[in-house]
Amino acid sequence: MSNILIDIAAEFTGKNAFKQADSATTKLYNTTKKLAASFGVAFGARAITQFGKASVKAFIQDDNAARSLGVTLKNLGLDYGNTATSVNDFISNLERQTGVLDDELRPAMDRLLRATGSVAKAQDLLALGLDISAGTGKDLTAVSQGLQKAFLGNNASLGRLGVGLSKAELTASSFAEIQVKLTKLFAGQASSAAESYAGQVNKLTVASNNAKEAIGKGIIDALKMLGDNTSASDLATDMEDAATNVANLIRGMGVLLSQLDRLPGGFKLDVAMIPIIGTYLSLIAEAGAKAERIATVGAQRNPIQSGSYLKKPPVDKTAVAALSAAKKAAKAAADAAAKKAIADKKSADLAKAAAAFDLTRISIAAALKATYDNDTKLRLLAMQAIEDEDGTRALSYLNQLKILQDSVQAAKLAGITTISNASLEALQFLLFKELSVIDASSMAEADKNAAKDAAFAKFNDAITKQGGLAAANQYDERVQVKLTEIAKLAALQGYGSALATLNTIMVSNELAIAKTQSANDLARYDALKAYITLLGVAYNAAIALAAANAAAAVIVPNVPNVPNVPYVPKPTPRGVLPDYLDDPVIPPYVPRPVPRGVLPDYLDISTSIGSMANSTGNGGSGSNTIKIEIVDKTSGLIEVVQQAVQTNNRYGNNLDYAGAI
Amino acid sequence: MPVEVKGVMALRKALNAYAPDLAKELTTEITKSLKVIQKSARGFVPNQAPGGLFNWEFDAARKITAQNSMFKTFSATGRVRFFPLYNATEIKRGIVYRTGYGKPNSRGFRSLFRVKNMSAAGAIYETAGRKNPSGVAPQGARFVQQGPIYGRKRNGQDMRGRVLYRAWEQDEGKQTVAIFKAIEQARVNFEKRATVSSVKASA
Repeated sequence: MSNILIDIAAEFTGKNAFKQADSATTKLYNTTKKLAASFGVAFGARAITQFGKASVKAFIQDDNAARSLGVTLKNLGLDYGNTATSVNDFISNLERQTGVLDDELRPAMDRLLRATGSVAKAQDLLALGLDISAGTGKDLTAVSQGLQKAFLGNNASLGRLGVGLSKAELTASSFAEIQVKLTKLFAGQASSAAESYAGQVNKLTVASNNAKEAIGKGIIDALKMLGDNTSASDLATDMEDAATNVANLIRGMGVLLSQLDRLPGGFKLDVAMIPIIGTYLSLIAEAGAKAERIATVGAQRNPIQSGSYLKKPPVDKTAVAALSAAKKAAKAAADAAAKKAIADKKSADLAKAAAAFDLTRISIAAALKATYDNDTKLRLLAMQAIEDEDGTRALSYLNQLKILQDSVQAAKLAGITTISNASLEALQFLLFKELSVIDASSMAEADKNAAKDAAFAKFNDAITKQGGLAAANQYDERVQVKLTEIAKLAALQGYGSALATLNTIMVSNELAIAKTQSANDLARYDALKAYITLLGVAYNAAIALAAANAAAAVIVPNVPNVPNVPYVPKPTPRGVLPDYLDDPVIPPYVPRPVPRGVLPDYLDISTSIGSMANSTGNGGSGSNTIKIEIVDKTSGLIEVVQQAVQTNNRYGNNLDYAGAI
Repeated sequence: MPVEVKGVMALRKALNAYAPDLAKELTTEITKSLKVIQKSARGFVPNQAPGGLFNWEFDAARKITAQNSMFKTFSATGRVRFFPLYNATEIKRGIVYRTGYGKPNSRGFRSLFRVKNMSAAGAIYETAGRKNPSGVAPQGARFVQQGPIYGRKRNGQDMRGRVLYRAWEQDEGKQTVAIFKAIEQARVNFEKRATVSSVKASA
């Protein structure tokens, strides 16, 4: 956050920081000067002591590495002849050529020897490792570890070194192939690096390191000679004392030389020129060198690589020869096995490659992909097995084919001409599987549609070859459900073979409906027929009964002889019933003439009522009552009455008090 | 031996040493001018969070925790502090003046007198919209559009704002003149007193 402030006034006071820095620098300078002056002498002695220690340490490390390498050679059974010497020479040469310290070379060689079990192979790999190390910038230890692992089968470790080989190459190739590639890729890297400026500096480092080792060895030898030191602490004390003394001696020599340099005439000092002491110094140096040479030659040691591992008993030549012969034989056997393996691999690869261009195989594979039909599929699989020269598999397929054909024949004999439930289910499973695979794939939409169409085509073809679809209701419920799903999918696809599939399924469904209807009709017809039959039985029974009745005797009652008297109507007085009511013979109706403005008789209420009264037989008295009943379906009257009652109850009237019930 | 006094700091040191009453008087005069700016600036602080940003408003009854804070202020190492809420009282309290010497800046200048807007919320209200005049988020746009920022950039320093810089802009340098006049007056008075005649007079 910026400071939110307003400076009303400011004053320049100079750059304080510079002043402070200046004063601090001056102080530092003065202090350092004093420090140097104070500790100059002690520093010199200390440096020499440190160098002495470092020299001894370097020698010890080198000796250990050499010892370890010697033990490895011995353990691997490779310490015969001058192998050890040659290994050391090889390392020394490499060290000088590449500028890589033997401190790194020895462990690397040790590692590779353990992995390969062969000096020559280890030397090759070490040289390759140096090239890779120089090329990739990785240290030799890491590279040698990678090569060791790769030799033992773990190629992934090489990938991590960034050697420029792909994962596929590393996985697919053998170590020999990888070695060839790496040799090609990193050829000359180590020698080129050694020629560079850094390489030259490294060579100097190597030389200095070797010198350090030599001095360290000298110090140890001298200290051993001076006292029988057994403990490290004693040795260290002696070392420091010796170094201090050497430092003092050198310093004294420096003083002496500086004084001599002041002499006129370009005086050059030779140690031998110093009277008495000079002679002694020269003699000491010569004696030291001689002792070193004698010791080295006596112990058959490499002058630089002064490890003690070369010290060993004399070798039995016969045993060595036998061992060598055995190794040669083993190597020959291993080589032969390797050659055979390579030849086999080549042959297999060739067969694989040839298969890629074998039209017969291609055709069979394509046909296999394009069919769901079990019969065809088995036939093709058998053909494929024959092409692969796998008789057992071919026979197995042919056997399956025979079984299938037998079952088809049996089905035909049994009158089954359409695809069976199991077959249809299997086909459905295949179709669904294929469609799901197509859907899940990352193909373009057009390709997906084409693939789906092909799948539907296969489905149709398989069904057709197996006799076509029967009526849907002949299959079990699960198959029917799946058929519906397939129909849905086919409808969604909407063209080509999918439509054919849809059509087939629809026909199957219609067939099922038709068959059901037909069966229902038949059942209804049968029922009707049965009913008719039943009716016929009843009819026959009735006929029989009628016939039986007809056949029975007819009983005629005795009817008196009635004389045939002609009907003479009697005059009917008013109020008396007319004769026709007493007489079964009804006179014909003769309408009376109706005068205009007068109602006809049958509409004359008085006449009608009078006739009704007469007809009841009560005589013609005048006490006639007409009862009228009113039916109020709307219940309006009831409401009026209810209201009146409620009003009465509520308010009372002149008879009752309010609230009386 | 004549002694040369150069610069305000030296003058004030001399005043403190030889004429404390003049030093006190100078400080009073400067303070008076600075207070004018301070008071004016405090008057520009709205009582409520501007732009209708109600959730920015400080509410003493509402406890702000890491869980319910509307403003997530996290650094790579975790929460630094809660986002400063708008509190007019606190902002006003944060508008202060100082008469002590500041530290030298990178160019070697030391501030003599200054007015500051010290509170975090005050700084937000002061400077919001400097970099993005139309705002980045909708809330920001609403905020920066509710009032203009006053002032201008001077000598590479952005002196635009809504509170302090606005007051400074409106003052039009009157208080600066007054302060320099006061310093000049103090110098004159000190010089008068430092002359021999005046010493004699004083004696």
